Amino acid sequence: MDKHKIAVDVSNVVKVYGPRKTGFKALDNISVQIKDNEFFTLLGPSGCGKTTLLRMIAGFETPTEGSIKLHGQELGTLPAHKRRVNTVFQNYALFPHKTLIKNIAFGLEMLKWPQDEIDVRVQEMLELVQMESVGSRYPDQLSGGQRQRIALARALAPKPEVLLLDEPLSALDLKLRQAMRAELKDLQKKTGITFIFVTHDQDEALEMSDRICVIGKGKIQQVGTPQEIYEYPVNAFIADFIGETNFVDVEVLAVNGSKAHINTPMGLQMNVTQANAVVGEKAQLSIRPGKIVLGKLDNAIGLKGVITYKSYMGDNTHFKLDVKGHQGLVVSEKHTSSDHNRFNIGDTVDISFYEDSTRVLGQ
Amino acid sequence: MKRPLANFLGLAPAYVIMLFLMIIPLFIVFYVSLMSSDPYGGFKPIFSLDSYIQIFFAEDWDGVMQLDLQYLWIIVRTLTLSTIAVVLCLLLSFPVAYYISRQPNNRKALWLFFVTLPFWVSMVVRVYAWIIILADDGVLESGLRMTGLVGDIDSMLYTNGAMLVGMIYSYIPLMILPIYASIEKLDGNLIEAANDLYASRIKTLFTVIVPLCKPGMVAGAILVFVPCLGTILEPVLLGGGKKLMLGNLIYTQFTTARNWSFGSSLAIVLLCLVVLILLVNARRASQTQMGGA
Repeated sequence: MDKHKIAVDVSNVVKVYGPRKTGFKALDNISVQIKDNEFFTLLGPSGCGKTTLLRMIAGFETPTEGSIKLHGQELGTLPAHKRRVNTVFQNYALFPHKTLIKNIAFGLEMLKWPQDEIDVRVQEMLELVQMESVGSRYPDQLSGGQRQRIALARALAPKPEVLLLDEPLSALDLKLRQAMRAELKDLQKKTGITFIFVTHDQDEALEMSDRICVIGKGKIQQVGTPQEIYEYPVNAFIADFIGETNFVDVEVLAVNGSKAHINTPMGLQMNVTQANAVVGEKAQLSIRPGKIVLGKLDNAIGLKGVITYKSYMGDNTHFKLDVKGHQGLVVSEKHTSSDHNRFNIGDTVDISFYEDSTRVLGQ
Repeated sequence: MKRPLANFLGLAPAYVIMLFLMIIPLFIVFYVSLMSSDPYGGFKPIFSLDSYIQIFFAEDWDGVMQLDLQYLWIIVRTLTLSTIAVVLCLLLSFPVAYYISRQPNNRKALWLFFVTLPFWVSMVVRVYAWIIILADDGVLESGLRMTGLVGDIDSMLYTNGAMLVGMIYSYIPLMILPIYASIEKLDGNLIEAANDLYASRIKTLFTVIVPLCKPGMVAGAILVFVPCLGTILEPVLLGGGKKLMLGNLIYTQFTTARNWSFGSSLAIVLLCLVVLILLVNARRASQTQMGGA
């Protein structure tokens, strides 16, 4: 398959629940193109409309306005059972009255595959998800992780053009969830099927996705690779939602292409990568806690601060510091040894960060 | 189970009720069925299997026992009509239950109220109403004649069909409610999953919804079948008293015929039929239980 072909083309989709004019606008003018063979994630807080978009692609809901195309074919009001897409549901929705084999075979039977081909395909799927030995069991005899795999096998068996995954990992416990991330990613590479994955978990999104589409308040906030989203958020919503960050209110003095000249309350004037900054309007400087170092660095911006809070987090220690002009600056110091009592509450310490690890974000 | 006495005392009211209202009366019926009948009514405490033999044989003028199928025929009619009533109830109830379950929440309560509404009126009155509907020149016949589609119709009242209509009408709520409950319990995602896996609406109905509603359908079938077996009113009012069912036969033995032993043996036969059917059902349920159905 051509890697750059568009698998799903969502253009100007609006979804309103209730009356068109006054109802609740779940999605507001969404346009996004999902490429073939891509692990594409719809990421956003709960209630942001990401699941609605997924359900519209699946055919469980119809857009109020706009169009959705699957490999160039307009889906419109085509019913779900005629769309070459399959869904992995959040609660798996395995048929409790059918064996696992029958569950996986269901879609193939509906597509009227010959029985011998169904048998072969089901076996293939069971092997793919490493569940060969349990095919004759019923879903309620499985653990959560096993059900998850069967749900995947069932959805992949009919060779859909696109696989939709609706928060499939949220019902699993932490360890299993982390293991399944790698498995899912691997499965996507092996099958070459386009995955559209819905989640509210930023770690999941960052770890698995080729590209992430961040949705907030019914609108697309940013589409990009995990690195782009994390390192170059285009607004404060994304910087805040993906990872942790410190926001410092700043004054924009000048905007010069991708850079902005700003005045900070710490008394520093900086020249920083910007997004949507406008001279004279409010803007925020975003500094990730992990990119601030306690101590001095060469060619970095140096400040002094007083530690007001300290919290041991295992991998790292979180500090809150008061610096001149800004209170509660969060700094995360990674532990490189077991001795992490260098600093204590009340200490005055040097802090440093590189200018190019900060961003100025307009409203 | 650490304090068996306390447990026993706690459950004692249940045991007492079971003992006095179920087990003892049942034994009395069984006992009477094994006694010989008294020509002057009631029974004589002399052991005899006559009342069971009487179900299949009758004494002719010469005092010879002859095979007589008239009672057996009543049993067969009872089973046949009850089975047909159950099947028709099932077919009628499923769409109704499904429709109600798809209504918005505030409407559901209203529809369920309508389903149970007939229970607020005396059974006799309700069955009597069907006489007015089915009678010659009754509501139904004159209505049909008014449409001009049908000419003369054979009498509808006092037929097996009329009895069936009465039975279905009387007991259909007992079918609708458990089916409704099992449809309500159905996970909506399963229906979406079936659609997603290329099953049309009809296919989804028969491959997912119906199989998963089987517990409700089984419960409803039992709830309808059992009272149908023992029904008395419909044969009397709508069957014209000529097409007896087992319930009527038993009733007659204790009232007009005053043959208690025979009435008791018929009651035991009815009970055995019911238990047999429940057992078969229970076995099938335990076999399919694994699938959650």
